[in-house]
Amino acid sequence: MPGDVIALQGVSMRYQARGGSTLALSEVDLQVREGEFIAVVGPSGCGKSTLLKLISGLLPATMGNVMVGGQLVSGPLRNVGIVFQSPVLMKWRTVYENVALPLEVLGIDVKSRHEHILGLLKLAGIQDFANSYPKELSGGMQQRVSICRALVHDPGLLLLDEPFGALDAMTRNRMNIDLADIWARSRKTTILITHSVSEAVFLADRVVVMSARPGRVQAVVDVPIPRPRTVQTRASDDFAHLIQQVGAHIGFEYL
Amino acid sequence: MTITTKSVFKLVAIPAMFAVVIYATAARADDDVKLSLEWLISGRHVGFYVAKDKGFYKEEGLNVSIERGYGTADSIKRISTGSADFAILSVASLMAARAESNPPVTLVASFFNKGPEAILVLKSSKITSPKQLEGKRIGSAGAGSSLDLLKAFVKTTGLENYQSVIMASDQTYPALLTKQVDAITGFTDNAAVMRPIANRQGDDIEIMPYSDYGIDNYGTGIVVNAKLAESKSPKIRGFLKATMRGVAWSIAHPEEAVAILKKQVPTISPETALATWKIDEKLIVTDETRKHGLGYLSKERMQVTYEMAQKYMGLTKSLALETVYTAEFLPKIDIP
Amino acid sequence: MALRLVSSSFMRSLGYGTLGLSIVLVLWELVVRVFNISDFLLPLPTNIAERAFIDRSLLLHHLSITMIETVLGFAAAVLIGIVVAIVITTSERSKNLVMPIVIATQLVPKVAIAPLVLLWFGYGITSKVVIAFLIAFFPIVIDMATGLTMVEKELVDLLRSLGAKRWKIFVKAQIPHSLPFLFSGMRIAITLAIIGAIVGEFIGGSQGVGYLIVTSTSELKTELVFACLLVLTAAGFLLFALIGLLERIIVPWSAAEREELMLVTGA
Repeated sequence: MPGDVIALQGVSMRYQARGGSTLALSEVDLQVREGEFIAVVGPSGCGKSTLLKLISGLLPATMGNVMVGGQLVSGPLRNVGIVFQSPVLMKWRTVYENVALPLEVLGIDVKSRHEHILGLLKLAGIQDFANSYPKELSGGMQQRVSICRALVHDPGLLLLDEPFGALDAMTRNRMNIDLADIWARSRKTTILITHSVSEAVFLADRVVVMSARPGRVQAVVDVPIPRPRTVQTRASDDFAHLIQQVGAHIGFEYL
Repeated sequence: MTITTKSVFKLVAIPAMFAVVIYATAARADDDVKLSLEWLISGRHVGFYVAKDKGFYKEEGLNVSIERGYGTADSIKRISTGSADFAILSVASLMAARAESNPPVTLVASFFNKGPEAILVLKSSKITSPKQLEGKRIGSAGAGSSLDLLKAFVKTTGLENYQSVIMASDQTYPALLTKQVDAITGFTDNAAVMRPIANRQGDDIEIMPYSDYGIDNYGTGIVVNAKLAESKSPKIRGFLKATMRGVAWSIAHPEEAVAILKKQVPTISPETALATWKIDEKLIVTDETRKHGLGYLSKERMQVTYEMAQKYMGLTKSLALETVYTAEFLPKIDIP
Repeated sequence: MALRLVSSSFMRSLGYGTLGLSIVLVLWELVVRVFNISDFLLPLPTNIAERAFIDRSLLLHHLSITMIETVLGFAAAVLIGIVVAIVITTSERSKNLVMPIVIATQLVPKVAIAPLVLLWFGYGITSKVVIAFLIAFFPIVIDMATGLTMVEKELVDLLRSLGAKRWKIFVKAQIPHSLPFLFSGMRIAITLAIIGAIVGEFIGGSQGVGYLIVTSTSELKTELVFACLLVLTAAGFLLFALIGLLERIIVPWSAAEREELMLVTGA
């Protein structure tokens, strides 16, 4: 469809291993519009992470088409920002230098983006730690650095693979709100992989529910809650209602 | 500068004179000669260092560098390959090597004219004669002429039963000093090393040289490459002459000799070196050398040494003795 | 980040270490005196110190030789070790090609081949450098290779997603990541290099602390032997500390981390 920045058509992914092969994804169809925030939820083994690898161009699909920006994905896109569950910051670089990394790799002059980097740090609330080393920061703050790093080169796509999975529940809820704020500034096309249904509903425009073994799109739930989404959103009836809706597909025991 | 006959002359003649002078001095420059000792440097070797320090080698046109050695086998290798010009080694071991594989090594002088092999005991053991070693433990380093010739000693002294304890070469001194064994085989000058410690324990070291019991082998000698000997190089005579002069001087002035050694070899401890030299003098100054001069080699005693090597060192092949040594380069340096 | 050359935890361990050492020395002195142990078996610490002072220029001269051999062998081990580590982490094939050789250098007891090395390289400094190199080489290769390969997969994916090719990933991620590991290996390697130099000197040569030990042992000068050991230990400590200092300068974030870890685990 026109306006689709991401389109997966009949995508399957089979991994070859020594014992045999695993079908991680089976005939996945998915469309994402420009500026949309998509959350993907599902149990372990539903191929969520594989989806990210296919979209970012890190892995080729064994079957089907992966299209980004109207083009078939044939290699690393370079125009993506990725946040993993583990911050994977470079221990030997300061926070500032870590955030600047994508610029270096893409051959963009870091000095020319100095203000931009500082601005990102401020947005994420970590401007005071620009010259600190990662080990001086808590897990949550390290993830903020990771998010800044994913945004510094103004990518067309933001991919987040269970970014808050390693944090405690309280920090996680806090980070959800902060991410919603940060996202609101740029409105990038975003795919969030998560285990948490409430996180998915809070952040996304649409929630894609996947089932496992093999990974398949089971359902797609719209989240028509208006933005900006705030702390009050979590307390609203609509919010609870949507969570139940997702739960109906995924299994209420997972809520 | 204008070109005149005078200037041309200067231009040519002066460099030419330099060339002549340089060539002449080069032609008269000393021969570089390497001496390889039999083992570590010790008081035994004062003679060589005196000959160096007092210019005896220089008088013979020789520039001698002295290096420690690593045993007879290594010395033979060095002489054979030419990495040393002169070396010291055990005469009996040389014979064994010549019979086995015939390396091109020729004996040109004796150093320890008498064999240094001996039994050493603590005074407190009250062992004063070979018979008293009956039933005792005798410690020995696994390889070496003092262990090989122990069989000769046993024969000539009629010793029948004793316990032979073999150990690493640096274990023999401690073994004797801590009385783990009653006696050890070794060299007579080993006493110089052990004596100070024995004294501190209120004891002393007694020596029973094999040579006191009819064992009349040559101890160590100076060797050269066989080809060099064949070519009758004047280096050999010059080296031996200067060396024996150094030895003679050291016999006459032992303390100064040790001081000269210490100056050139900082690791030497003078007390041990002097005590060592005093004991070694008795091996160098013998009836034979008193009569014929230092470093003498006689056919008869070469024969005796050969027979001992055959009997006790497992020589399987026979050897033409005349090919092993030559006395033609011996200087006649008298004992002072 | 401020560069603390000598941390408080270092000073603390130095203090305790000195105390522990003093206790050992006092016990040593007492045992020798009370049991009247012969001085050629176990000399008094005070006599050893005296001997070390008297012969200080001798000890220093020979120590400098041993140190030159050690440092050269160590430097060769580091340089060649880094190169080999990079080679074996490049591809499975190069690993299979090179690793057997590397492991062979480790399995062959250096004490056994040392005489051969002296035969090939002579009795001078070169052979000792070679032995020191052979012993010190392995830990450098293993530690460096570990550091190069243990970069987090997600970080590599991140770099790849930005279009970084192998060279960029190598320079930006693998090399910096491997430096703490390299220093770990270097700490082990430097102590092994000293051993290598000494082993070589035991077998042959006329210089170095090992040679001094040989001549002293042959004349039962046990005090000097112990003085040699003292001097070697001190030199070993110094080299070890120098590596630590180098680490603080080159990889300050790692040195501090390691220290904290040791405090936490009580190590």
